[in-house]
Amino acid sequence: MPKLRVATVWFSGCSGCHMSFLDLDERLLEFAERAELVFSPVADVKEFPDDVDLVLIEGAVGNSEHLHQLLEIRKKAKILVAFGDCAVTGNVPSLRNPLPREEVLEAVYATADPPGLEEGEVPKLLPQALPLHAVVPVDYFLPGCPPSADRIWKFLRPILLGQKPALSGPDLKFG
Amino acid sequence: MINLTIDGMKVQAEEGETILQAAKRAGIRLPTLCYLEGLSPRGACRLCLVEVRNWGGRLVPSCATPVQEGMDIVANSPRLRELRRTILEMIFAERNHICAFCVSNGHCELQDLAMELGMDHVQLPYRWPLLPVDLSHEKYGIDHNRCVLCGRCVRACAEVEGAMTWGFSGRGIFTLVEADLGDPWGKSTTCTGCGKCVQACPTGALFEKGKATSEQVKRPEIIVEVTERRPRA
Amino acid sequence: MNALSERVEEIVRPYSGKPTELIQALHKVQSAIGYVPREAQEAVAKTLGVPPSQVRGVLTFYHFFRTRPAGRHTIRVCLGTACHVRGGERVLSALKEELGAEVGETSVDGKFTLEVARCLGCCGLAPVMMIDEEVYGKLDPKKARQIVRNVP
Repeated sequence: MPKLRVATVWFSGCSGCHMSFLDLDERLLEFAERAELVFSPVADVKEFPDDVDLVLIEGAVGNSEHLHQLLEIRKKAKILVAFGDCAVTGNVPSLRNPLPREEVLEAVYATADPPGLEEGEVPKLLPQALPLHAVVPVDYFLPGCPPSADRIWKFLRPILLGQKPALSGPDLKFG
Repeated sequence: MINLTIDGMKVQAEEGETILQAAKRAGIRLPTLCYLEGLSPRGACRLCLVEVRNWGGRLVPSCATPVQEGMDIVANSPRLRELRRTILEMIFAERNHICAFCVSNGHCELQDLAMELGMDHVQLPYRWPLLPVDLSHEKYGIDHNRCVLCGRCVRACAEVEGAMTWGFSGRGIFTLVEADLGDPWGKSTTCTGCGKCVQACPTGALFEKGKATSEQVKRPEIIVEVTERRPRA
Repeated sequence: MNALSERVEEIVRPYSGKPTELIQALHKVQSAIGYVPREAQEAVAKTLGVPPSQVRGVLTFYHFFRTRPAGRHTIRVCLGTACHVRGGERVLSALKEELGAEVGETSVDGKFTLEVARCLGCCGLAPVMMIDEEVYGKLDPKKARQIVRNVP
Protein backbone atom coordinates (compact mmCIF):
# COMPACT_ATOMS: atom_id res chain seq x y z
CA MET A 1 0.00 0.00 0.00
CA PRO A 2 1.51 3.35 -1.01
CA LYS A 3 2.06 5.87 1.75
CA LEU A 4 -0.72 8.35 2.42
CA ARG A 5 0.26 11.89 1.42
CA VAL A 6 -0.61 13.98 4.50
CA ALA A 7 -0.39 17.75 5.03
CA THR A 8 -1.00 19.90 8.11
CA VAL A 9 -1.75 23.62 7.91
CA TRP A 10 -1.71 26.41 10.50
CA PHE A 11 -4.17 29.28 10.11
CA SER A 12 -5.48 31.58 12.84
CA GLY A 13 -4.77 29.47 15.90
CA CYS A 14 -2.22 29.09 18.68
CA SER A 15 -0.46 25.98 17.24
CA GLY A 16 -1.72 24.03 20.24
CA CYS A 17 -3.33 21.48 17.93
CA HIS A 18 0.03 20.92 16.22
CA MET A 19 1.67 20.53 19.65
CA SER A 20 -0.98 17.95 20.48
CA PHE A 21 -0.19 16.20 17.18
CA LEU A 22 3.47 15.97 18.21
CA ASP A 23 2.26 14.49 21.50
CA LEU A 24 1.39 11.35 19.51
CA ASP A 25 4.89 10.36 20.63
CA GLU A 26 5.74 6.75 19.69
CA ARG A 27 2.59 6.59 17.59
CA LEU A 28 4.37 8.98 15.22
CA LEU A 29 6.50 5.98 14.20
CA GLU A 30 3.43 4.12 13.00
CA PHE A 31 2.26 7.34 11.35
CA ALA A 32 5.61 7.60 9.50
CA GLU A 33 5.30 3.99 8.33
CA ARG A 34 1.95 4.59 6.74
CA ALA A 35 2.13 8.26 5.77
CA GLU A 36 4.40 10.85 4.29
CA LEU A 37 4.22 14.41 5.61
CA VAL A 38 4.30 16.45 2.39
CA PHE A 39 3.49 19.89 3.83
CA SER A 40 3.43 21.20 7.40
CA PRO A 41 4.66 23.99 9.67
CA VAL A 42 7.04 21.36 11.05
CA ALA A 43 8.35 20.49 7.56
CA ASP A 44 10.19 23.04 5.45
CA VAL A 45 8.04 23.05 2.30
CA LYS A 46 7.01 26.34 0.68
CA GLU A 47 4.31 25.32 -1.81
CA PHE A 48 1.25 23.27 -0.97
CA PRO A 49 1.72 20.21 -3.19
CA ASP A 50 -0.82 18.66 -5.58
CA ASP A 51 -2.48 15.33 -4.86
CA VAL A 52 -2.64 15.45 -1.09
CA ASP A 53 -4.68 12.60 0.38
CA LEU A 54 -5.37 14.12 3.77
CA VAL A 55 -4.98 17.64 5.15
CA LEU A 56 -5.47 18.65 8.78
CA ILE A 57 -6.11 22.41 9.08
CA GLU A 58 -5.68 24.08 12.44
CA GLY A 59 -7.09 27.56 13.05
CA ALA A 60 -9.87 29.82 11.84
CA VAL A 61 -9.88 31.64 8.51
CA GLY A 62 -8.72 35.01 9.80
CA ASN A 63 -7.10 36.87 6.92
CA SER A 64 -6.96 37.10 3.14
CA GLU A 65 -3.97 34.72 2.96
CA HIS A 66 -5.86 31.99 4.84
CA LEU A 67 -8.82 32.48 2.55
CA HIS A 68 -6.69 32.19 -0.58
CA GLN A 69 -4.81 29.14 0.76
CA LEU A 70 -7.96 27.37 1.89
CA LEU A 71 -9.54 27.65 -1.56
CA GLU A 72 -6.34 26.26 -3.13
CA ILE A 73 -6.04 23.47 -0.57
CA ARG A 74 -9.62 22.38 -1.12
CA LYS A 75 -8.82 21.86 -4.81
CA LYS A 76 -5.67 19.86 -4.07
CA ALA A 77 -6.65 17.71 -1.08
CA LYS A 78 -8.94 14.67 -1.13
CA ILE A 79 -9.87 14.66 2.57
CA LEU A 80 -10.02 18.00 4.38
CA VAL A 81 -10.24 17.97 8.17
CA ALA A 82 -11.14 20.88 10.46
CA PHE A 83 -8.48 20.22 13.10
CA GLY A 84 -9.36 21.64 16.52
CA ASP A 85 -11.95 24.13 17.79
CA CYS A 86 -10.65 27.21 15.92
CA ALA A 87 -11.11 25.43 12.60
CA VAL A 88 -14.43 23.90 13.70
CA THR A 89 -16.13 26.86 15.44
CA GLY A 90 -13.90 29.95 15.11
CA ASN A 91 -13.11 29.57 18.82
CA VAL A 92 -10.70 32.13 20.38
CA PRO A 93 -10.00 34.07 17.15
CA SER A 94 -13.77 34.57 16.75
CA LEU A 95 -13.84 36.55 20.03
CA ARG A 96 -13.25 39.62 17.88
CA ASN A 97 -16.20 38.89 15.59
CA PRO A 98 -18.80 41.03 17.41
CA LEU A 99 -16.53 44.07 16.91
CA PRO A 100 -15.93 45.95 13.66
CA ARG A 101 -12.55 45.09 12.10
CA GLU A 102 -11.43 48.74 12.33
CA GLU A 103 -12.04 48.76 16.08
CA VAL A 104 -9.95 45.61 16.50
CA LEU A 105 -7.05 47.03 14.47
CA GLU A 106 -7.29 50.32 16.35
CA ALA A 107 -7.10 48.48 19.69
CA VAL A 108 -4.08 46.40 18.67
CA TYR A 109 -2.06 48.70 16.37
CA ALA A 110 -3.38 52.11 17.55
CA THR A 111 -4.46 52.69 13.96
CA ALA A 112 -7.28 51.23 11.87
CA ASP A 113 -4.99 51.33 8.84
CA PRO A 114 -1.66 49.70 9.76
CA PRO A 115 1.15 50.04 7.19
CA GLY A 116 1.74 47.25 4.72
CA LEU A 117 -1.91 46.42 4.11
CA GLU A 118 -2.34 48.55 1.02
CA GLU A 119 0.94 47.40 -0.49
CA GLY A 120 -0.07 43.77 -0.09
CA GLU A 121 2.93 42.96 2.12
CA VAL A 122 0.68 41.93 4.97
CA PRO A 123 -2.53 39.93 4.43
CA LYS A 124 -5.73 41.82 5.22
CA LEU A 125 -7.68 40.87 8.30
CA LEU A 126 -11.10 39.50 7.29
CA PRO A 127 -14.12 41.21 8.88
CA GLN A 128 -14.68 38.05 10.95
CA ALA A 129 -12.66 34.94 11.79
CA LEU A 130 -14.60 32.06 10.21
CA PRO A 131 -14.74 28.31 10.78
CA LEU A 132 -13.46 26.40 7.74
CA HIS A 133 -16.86 25.04 6.74
CA ALA A 134 -18.15 28.61 6.32
CA VAL A 135 -15.77 28.85 3.33
CA VAL A 136 -15.31 25.37 1.79
CA PRO A 137 -16.86 21.92 2.27
CA VAL A 138 -15.18 20.08 5.13
CA ASP A 139 -15.02 16.27 5.23
CA TYR A 140 -14.38 15.68 8.92
CA PHE A 141 -14.50 17.70 12.13
CA LEU A 142 -12.03 16.99 14.90
CA PRO A 143 -13.04 19.26 17.80
CA GLY A 144 -11.10 20.04 20.95
CA CYS A 145 -9.02 22.90 22.29
CA PRO A 146 -6.70 21.23 21.58
CA PRO A 147 -7.89 17.72 20.71
CA SER A 148 -5.81 15.37 22.85
CA ALA A 149 -3.20 13.15 21.22
CA ASP A 150 -5.41 10.15 22.06
CA ARG A 151 -8.34 11.73 20.29
CA ILE A 152 -6.19 12.65 17.28
CA TRP A 153 -4.96 9.08 17.05
CA LYS A 154 -8.46 7.65 17.38
CA PHE A 155 -9.35 9.79 14.40
CA LEU A 156 -6.19 9.41 12.36
CA ARG A 157 -5.48 5.70 12.67
CA PRO A 158 -8.59 4.48 10.80
CA ILE A 159 -7.76 6.86 7.95
CA LEU A 160 -4.20 5.53 7.79
CA LEU A 161 -5.71 2.05 7.53
CA GLY A 162 -8.07 3.12 4.76
CA GLN A 163 -11.12 3.13 7.02
CA LYS A 164 -13.63 5.79 8.01
CA PRO A 165 -13.11 7.51 11.34
CA ALA A 166 -16.17 7.98 13.57
CA LEU A 167 -15.71 10.02 16.70
CA SER A 168 -18.60 10.18 19.15
CA GLY A 169 -19.52 11.08 22.72
CA PRO A 170 -16.66 12.47 24.85
CA ASP A 171 -14.40 12.53 21.78
CA LEU A 172 -16.55 15.35 20.40
CA LYS A 173 -16.13 17.59 23.43
CA PHE A 174 -15.49 21.22 22.54
CA GLY A 175 -13.08 23.22 24.68
CA MET B 1 -53.15 4.30 35.84
CA ILE B 2 -52.59 5.35 32.26
CA ASN B 3 -51.16 2.96 29.68
CA LEU B 4 -48.94 4.17 26.89
CA THR B 5 -46.13 2.97 24.65
CA ILE B 6 -42.71 4.58 24.38
CA ASP B 7 -40.41 3.26 21.67
CA GLY B 8 -42.48 0.10 21.57
CA MET B 9 -42.17 -0.46 25.32
CA LYS B 10 -45.38 -0.68 27.38
CA VAL B 11 -45.26 1.96 30.10
CA GLN B 12 -47.66 2.78 32.93
CA ALA B 13 -47.95 6.29 34.28
CA GLU B 14 -50.05 8.16 36.75
CA GLU B 15 -52.64 10.68 35.70
CA GLY B 16 -51.03 14.13 35.43
CA GLU B 17 -47.53 12.83 34.86
CA THR B 18 -45.65 14.13 31.86
CA ILE B 19 -44.26 12.03 29.03
CA LEU B 20 -40.77 12.92 30.23
CA GLN B 21 -41.46 11.60 33.75
CA ALA B 22 -42.95 8.38 32.38
CA ALA B 23 -39.99 7.89 30.02
CA LYS B 24 -37.51 8.51 32.81
CA ARG B 25 -39.09 5.86 35.02
CA ALA B 26 -39.02 3.41 32.13
CA GLY B 27 -35.29 4.04 31.78
CA ILE B 28 -35.60 5.92 28.50
CA ARG B 29 -33.27 8.88 28.31
CA LEU B 30 -34.48 12.11 26.68
CA PRO B 31 -32.24 15.15 26.24
CA THR B 32 -33.41 18.22 28.21
CA LEU B 33 -32.10 21.72 28.78
CA CYS B 34 -34.81 24.10 30.00
CA TYR B 35 -36.35 21.38 32.18
CA LEU B 36 -35.19 21.21 35.77
CA GLU B 37 -36.67 18.93 38.41
CA GLY B 38 -38.32 21.00 41.12
CA LEU B 39 -39.41 23.77 38.74
CA SER B 40 -42.53 24.06 36.60
CA PRO B 41 -41.98 22.85 33.02
CA ARG B 42 -41.63 25.54 30.41
CA GLY B 43 -41.20 23.80 27.02
CA ALA B 44 -38.81 26.54 25.94
CA CYS B 45 -35.86 24.70 24.43
CA ARG B 46 -37.73 21.97 22.51
CA LEU B 47 -34.85 19.51 22.89
CA CYS B 48 -37.02 16.94 24.66
CA LEU B 49 -39.57 16.76 21.89
CA VAL B 50 -41.05 13.39 21.03
CA GLU B 51 -43.33 12.15 18.29
CA VAL B 52 -46.84 10.98 19.12
CA ARG B 53 -47.45 8.41 16.40
CA ASN B 54 -51.21 8.15 16.86
CA TRP B 55 -51.59 11.93 16.82
CA GLY B 56 -50.51 11.96 13.19
CA GLY B 57 -46.82 12.10 14.11
CA ARG B 58 -47.23 15.35 15.97
CA LEU B 59 -44.18 16.64 17.85
CA VAL B 60 -44.71 17.64 21.47
CA PRO B 61 -42.32 18.74 24.22
CA SER B 62 -42.25 15.72 26.54
CA CYS B 63 -41.49 17.89 29.61
CA ALA B 64 -44.75 19.82 29.26
CA THR B 65 -47.14 17.22 27.82
CA PRO B 66 -49.22 15.09 30.20
CA VAL B 67 -49.59 11.42 29.36
CA GLN B 68 -52.85 10.23 27.84
CA GLU B 69 -54.31 6.75 27.56
CA GLY B 70 -53.08 4.85 24.52
CA MET B 71 -50.38 7.31 23.45
CA ASP B 72 -47.89 5.69 21.06
CA ILE B 73 -44.70 7.65 21.48
CA VAL B 74 -41.45 7.69 19.56
CA ALA B 75 -38.68 9.00 21.83
CA ASN B 76 -35.70 8.19 19.62
CA SER B 77 -35.59 8.01 15.85
CA PRO B 78 -33.39 9.39 13.04
CA ARG B 79 -35.95 12.17 12.48
CA LEU B 80 -35.92 13.21 16.16
CA ARG B 81 -32.13 13.04 16.32
CA GLU B 82 -31.93 15.34 13.29
CA LEU B 83 -34.47 17.78 14.77
CA ARG B 84 -32.76 17.87 18.16
CA ARG B 85 -29.39 18.48 16.58
CA THR B 86 -30.78 21.38 14.52
CA ILE B 87 -32.36 22.90 17.63
CA LEU B 88 -29.06 22.55 19.48
CA GLU B 89 -27.21 24.18 16.60
CA MET B 90 -29.61 27.12 16.68
CA ILE B 91 -28.84 27.61 20.36
CA PHE B 92 -25.10 27.46 19.70
CA ALA B 93 -25.32 29.85 16.74
CA GLU B 94 -27.47 32.41 18.53
CA ARG B 95 -24.95 33.73 21.07
CA ASN B 96 -21.41 32.97 22.17
CA HIS B 97 -21.06 29.34 23.22
CA ILE B 98 -17.35 28.90 22.64
CA CYS B 99 -16.33 26.40 25.31
CA ALA B 100 -12.58 27.06 25.40
CA PHE B 101 -12.95 30.39 27.16
CA CYS B 102 -16.04 29.76 29.26
CA VAL B 103 -16.18 29.55 33.07
CA SER B 104 -18.35 26.43 32.75
CA ASN B 105 -16.02 24.53 30.41
CA GLY B 106 -16.09 20.89 31.48
CA HIS B 107 -19.30 21.11 33.51
CA CYS B 108 -21.88 22.64 31.23
CA GLU B 109 -25.17 21.06 30.23
CA LEU B 110 -25.04 22.63 26.76
CA GLN B 111 -21.55 21.28 26.13
CA ASP B 112 -22.68 17.83 27.33
CA LEU B 113 -25.70 17.93 25.01
CA ALA B 114 -23.43 18.61 22.02
CA MET B 115 -21.53 15.41 22.86
CA GLU B 116 -24.70 13.43 23.50
CA LEU B 117 -26.35 14.52 20.24
CA GLY B 118 -23.17 14.07 18.22
CA MET B 119 -22.87 17.73 17.24
CA ASP B 120 -19.33 17.93 15.84
CA HIS B 121 -19.88 21.36 14.26
CA VAL B 122 -22.56 24.02 13.79
CA GLN B 123 -23.81 24.18 10.22
CA LEU B 124 -25.83 27.35 10.75
CA PRO B 125 -23.99 30.68 10.51
CA TYR B 126 -23.01 32.12 13.90
CA ARG B 127 -24.58 35.46 14.85
CA TRP B 128 -21.76 36.66 17.10
CA PRO B 129 -23.72 39.33 18.98
CA LEU B 130 -22.07 41.65 21.49
CA LEU B 131 -24.08 41.46 24.71
CA PRO B 132 -23.37 42.95 28.12
CA VAL B 133 -21.77 41.23 31.09
CA ASP B 134 -23.10 42.44 34.46
CA LEU B 135 -20.61 42.08 37.32
CA SER B 136 -22.31 44.53 39.67
CA HIS B 137 -23.43 41.86 42.15
CA GLU B 138 -21.11 41.23 45.06
CA LYS B 139 -21.03 37.44 44.71
CA TYR B 140 -22.25 36.61 41.21
CA GLY B 141 -22.02 37.66 37.58
CA ILE B 142 -24.23 37.30 34.50
CA ASP B 143 -22.84 37.00 30.98
CA HIS B 144 -25.72 37.41 28.51
CA ASN B 145 -23.51 36.08 25.72
CA ARG B 146 -23.70 32.62 27.33
CA CYS B 147 -27.44 32.68 28.06
CA VAL B 148 -29.70 30.15 26.32
CA LEU B 149 -32.92 31.78 27.62
CA CYS B 150 -34.05 28.51 29.23
CA GLY B 151 -35.60 30.52 32.07
CA ARG B 152 -34.41 28.16 34.82
CA CYS B 153 -33.03 31.15 36.77
CA VAL B 154 -36.29 33.07 36.33
CA ARG B 155 -38.32 30.11 37.59
CA ALA B 156 -35.95 29.26 40.45
CA CYS B 157 -36.14 32.88 41.60
CA ALA B 158 -39.94 33.06 41.34
CA GLU B 159 -41.01 29.54 42.32
CA VAL B 160 -38.44 28.53 44.91
CA GLU B 161 -36.97 31.70 46.37
CA GLY B 162 -40.13 33.75 45.78
CA ALA B 163 -38.11 36.90 45.06
CA MET B 164 -39.16 37.33 41.43
CA THR B 165 -36.06 39.38 40.76
CA TRP B 166 -35.37 37.91 37.34
CA GLY B 167 -37.59 38.46 34.33
CA PHE B 168 -37.34 38.45 30.56
CA SER B 169 -37.05 41.76 28.77
CA GLY B 170 -37.46 42.29 25.05
CA ARG B 171 -38.43 39.47 22.72
CA GLY B 172 -37.11 36.85 20.32
CA ILE B 173 -33.36 36.62 19.97
CA PHE B 174 -33.06 40.03 21.65
CA THR B 175 -34.54 38.75 24.90
CA LEU B 176 -32.40 39.30 27.99
CA VAL B 177 -32.76 37.98 31.52
CA GLU B 178 -32.77 41.13 33.64
CA ALA B 179 -33.25 42.06 37.28
CA ASP B 180 -36.22 44.19 38.41
CA LEU B 181 -36.69 47.15 36.05
CA GLY B 182 -33.57 46.28 34.05
CA ASP B 183 -31.26 47.45 36.81
CA PRO B 184 -27.72 46.23 37.41
CA TRP B 185 -28.00 43.01 39.43
CA GLY B 186 -26.04 44.52 42.31
CA LYS B 187 -28.60 47.35 42.60
CA SER B 188 -31.60 45.00 42.77
CA THR B 189 -33.93 45.71 45.67
CA THR B 190 -35.63 42.31 45.45
CA CYS B 191 -32.62 39.96 45.08
CA THR B 192 -31.84 38.09 48.29
CA GLY B 193 -28.45 36.93 47.05
CA CYS B 194 -29.45 33.28 47.61
CA GLY B 195 -27.69 32.07 44.46
CA LYS B 196 -30.36 29.54 43.42
CA CYS B 197 -30.41 31.09 39.94
CA VAL B 198 -26.68 30.48 39.62
CA GLN B 199 -27.00 26.84 40.66
CA ALA B 200 -29.96 26.33 38.31
CA CYS B 201 -28.19 27.85 35.28
CA PRO B 202 -27.13 25.11 32.82
CA THR B 203 -24.37 27.15 31.15
CA GLY B 204 -21.77 29.75 32.08
CA ALA B 205 -24.30 32.61 31.87
CA LEU B 206 -24.67 32.83 35.65
CA PHE B 207 -21.54 32.20 37.66
CA GLU B 208 -19.91 32.72 41.03
CA LYS B 209 -17.26 35.39 41.22
CA GLY B 210 -13.76 34.47 42.33
CA LYS B 211 -14.05 30.84 41.28
CA ALA B 212 -11.78 29.28 38.68
CA THR B 213 -13.27 27.28 35.82
CA SER B 214 -12.42 23.98 37.52
CA GLU B 215 -14.27 25.06 40.69
CA GLN B 216 -17.29 26.41 38.85
CA VAL B 217 -19.41 23.28 39.30
CA LYS B 218 -23.14 23.98 39.46
CA ARG B 219 -25.53 22.07 41.69
CA PRO B 220 -28.91 22.29 39.92
CA GLU B 221 -30.14 19.40 42.09
CA ILE B 222 -30.40 21.76 45.08
CA ILE B 223 -33.62 23.09 43.51
CA VAL B 224 -35.43 19.79 43.95
CA GLU B 225 -33.74 19.19 47.32
CA VAL B 226 -35.12 22.49 48.60
CA THR B 227 -38.61 21.97 47.18
CA GLU B 228 -38.92 18.42 48.51
CA ARG B 229 -38.13 19.51 52.03
CA ARG B 230 -41.17 21.77 51.89
CA PRO B 231 -44.66 20.55 52.75
CA ARG B 232 -46.70 20.03 49.58
CA ALA B 233 -49.39 22.63 48.94
CA MET C 1 -42.72 60.41 46.54
CA ASN C 2 -42.75 62.88 43.70
CA ALA C 3 -45.56 64.46 41.68
CA LEU C 4 -45.26 62.02 38.79
CA SER C 5 -45.53 58.96 41.02
CA GLU C 6 -48.55 60.48 42.73
CA ARG C 7 -50.17 61.14 39.39
CA VAL C 8 -49.52 57.60 38.22
CA GLU C 9 -50.89 56.15 41.43
CA GLU C 10 -54.00 58.22 40.87
CA ILE C 11 -54.34 56.88 37.32
CA VAL C 12 -53.88 53.23 38.25
CA ARG C 13 -55.80 53.28 41.53
CA PRO C 14 -58.76 51.37 39.97
CA TYR C 15 -56.35 48.47 39.37
CA SER C 16 -54.95 48.46 42.89
CA GLY C 17 -54.09 44.93 43.98
CA LYS C 18 -55.04 43.49 40.57
CA PRO C 19 -51.90 42.07 38.94
CA THR C 20 -53.88 40.74 35.97
CA GLU C 21 -54.70 44.33 34.93
CA LEU C 22 -51.03 45.13 34.25
CA ILE C 23 -51.36 45.78 30.50
CA GLN C 24 -54.51 47.86 31.03
CA ALA C 25 -52.79 49.94 33.70
CA LEU C 26 -49.74 50.57 31.52
CA HIS C 27 -52.04 51.64 28.67
CA LYS C 28 -53.73 54.17 30.93
CA VAL C 29 -50.40 55.57 32.07
CA GLN C 30 -49.10 55.90 28.54
CA SER C 31 -52.19 57.60 27.21
CA ALA C 32 -52.12 60.09 30.09
CA ILE C 33 -48.39 60.83 30.17
CA GLY C 34 -47.32 59.85 26.67
CA TYR C 35 -44.83 57.24 27.87
CA VAL C 36 -44.07 55.07 30.90
CA PRO C 37 -41.13 56.54 32.79
CA ARG C 38 -39.25 54.67 35.47
CA GLU C 39 -41.14 56.32 38.34
CA ALA C 40 -44.39 55.19 36.71
CA GLN C 41 -43.10 51.63 36.32
CA GLU C 42 -42.30 51.55 40.02
CA ALA C 43 -45.67 53.02 40.95
CA VAL C 44 -47.53 50.52 38.75
CA ALA C 45 -45.59 47.60 40.27
CA LYS C 46 -46.33 48.78 43.79
CA THR C 47 -50.00 49.63 43.27
CA LEU C 48 -50.92 46.48 41.37
CA GLY C 49 -48.69 44.19 43.43
CA VAL C 50 -46.66 42.99 40.45
CA PRO C 51 -42.90 42.30 40.65
CA PRO C 52 -40.87 45.00 38.87
CA SER C 53 -39.34 42.31 36.63
CA GLN C 54 -42.80 41.51 35.23
CA VAL C 55 -43.62 45.15 34.59
CA ARG C 56 -40.38 45.42 32.65
CA GLY C 57 -41.14 42.19 30.77
CA VAL C 58 -44.51 43.45 29.54
CA LEU C 59 -43.21 46.94 28.72
CA THR C 60 -40.35 45.68 26.60
CA PHE C 61 -42.31 42.87 24.95
CA TYR C 62 -44.97 45.07 23.34
CA HIS C 63 -43.68 47.57 20.81
CA PHE C 64 -46.60 49.85 21.63
CA PHE C 65 -45.17 50.89 24.99
CA ARG C 66 -42.56 53.62 25.29
CA THR C 67 -40.23 54.11 28.23
CA ARG C 68 -38.94 57.44 26.92
CA PRO C 69 -40.97 60.51 25.93
CA ALA C 70 -42.16 60.69 22.34
CA GLY C 71 -41.52 63.75 20.18
CA ARG C 72 -44.26 66.31 19.54
CA HIS C 73 -44.85 64.57 16.20
CA THR C 74 -44.61 60.91 15.24
CA ILE C 75 -43.29 59.95 11.81
CA ARG C 76 -44.19 56.46 10.60
CA VAL C 77 -42.29 55.38 7.50
CA CYS C 78 -43.96 52.52 5.70
CA LEU C 79 -41.79 49.50 4.90
CA GLY C 80 -44.60 47.31 3.57
CA THR C 81 -44.06 45.37 0.36
CA ALA C 82 -45.00 48.14 -2.10
CA CYS C 83 -43.08 50.83 -0.22
CA HIS C 84 -40.12 48.49 0.21
CA VAL C 85 -40.00 47.92 -3.56
CA ARG C 86 -40.33 51.64 -4.31
CA GLY C 87 -37.58 52.85 -2.01
CA GLY C 88 -39.05 53.07 1.50
CA GLU C 89 -35.69 52.10 2.98
CA ARG C 90 -33.99 55.05 1.26
CA VAL C 91 -36.63 57.40 2.62
CA LEU C 92 -36.06 55.96 6.08
CA SER C 93 -32.26 56.36 5.85
CA ALA C 94 -32.68 59.98 4.76
CA LEU C 95 -34.97 60.69 7.71
CA LYS C 96 -32.65 58.97 10.17
CA GLU C 97 -29.90 61.28 8.96
CA GLU C 98 -32.15 64.35 8.93
CA LEU C 99 -33.36 63.74 12.51
CA GLY C 100 -30.22 62.19 13.93
CA ALA C 101 -32.40 59.44 15.36
CA GLU C 102 -32.73 55.71 14.82
CA VAL C 103 -36.07 53.91 14.59
CA GLY C 104 -37.86 54.18 17.93
CA GLU C 105 -35.83 57.22 18.93
CA THR C 106 -36.68 60.90 19.21
CA SER C 107 -34.76 63.77 17.62
CA VAL C 108 -32.60 65.74 20.03
CA ASP C 109 -34.89 68.79 19.79
CA GLY C 110 -37.78 66.59 20.95
CA LYS C 111 -39.78 67.40 17.82
CA PHE C 112 -40.04 64.03 16.06
CA THR C 113 -40.16 60.37 17.02
CA LEU C 114 -39.20 58.09 14.13
CA GLU C 115 -41.10 54.84 13.70
CA VAL C 116 -41.70 52.30 10.98
CA ALA C 117 -44.93 50.64 9.90
CA ARG C 118 -45.53 47.47 7.91
CA CYS C 119 -48.36 48.89 5.77
CA LEU C 120 -50.32 52.11 5.94
CA GLY C 121 -52.99 50.91 3.51
CA CYS C 122 -52.31 53.24 0.57
CA CYS C 123 -49.87 51.23 -1.50
CA GLY C 124 -50.77 53.14 -4.68
CA LEU C 125 -48.94 56.13 -3.23
CA ALA C 126 -45.79 54.15 -2.33
CA PRO C 127 -43.45 54.97 -0.80
CA VAL C 128 -45.44 56.66 1.94
CA MET C 129 -45.04 58.00 5.43
CA MET C 130 -47.40 59.44 8.00
CA ILE C 131 -46.70 62.42 10.20
CA ASP C 132 -49.22 62.21 13.01
CA GLU C 133 -52.53 61.71 11.12
CA GLU C 134 -51.37 63.07 7.75
CA VAL C 135 -50.28 60.77 4.89
CA TYR C 136 -47.52 61.79 2.47
CA GLY C 137 -47.07 59.73 -0.70
CA LYS C 138 -44.82 59.24 -3.72
CA LEU C 139 -41.82 60.16 -1.64
CA ASP C 140 -38.15 60.21 -2.39
CA PRO C 141 -35.41 61.01 0.12
CA LYS C 142 -35.26 64.68 -0.87
CA LYS C 143 -39.01 65.18 -0.76
CA ALA C 144 -39.26 63.46 2.64
CA ARG C 145 -36.59 65.72 4.11
CA GLN C 146 -38.36 68.82 2.80
CA ILE C 147 -41.71 67.77 4.22
CA VAL C 148 -40.16 67.17 7.63
CA ARG C 149 -38.38 70.55 7.55
CA ASN C 150 -41.69 72.30 6.84
CA VAL C 151 -43.52 70.83 9.81
CA PRO C 152 -44.08 73.66 12.31
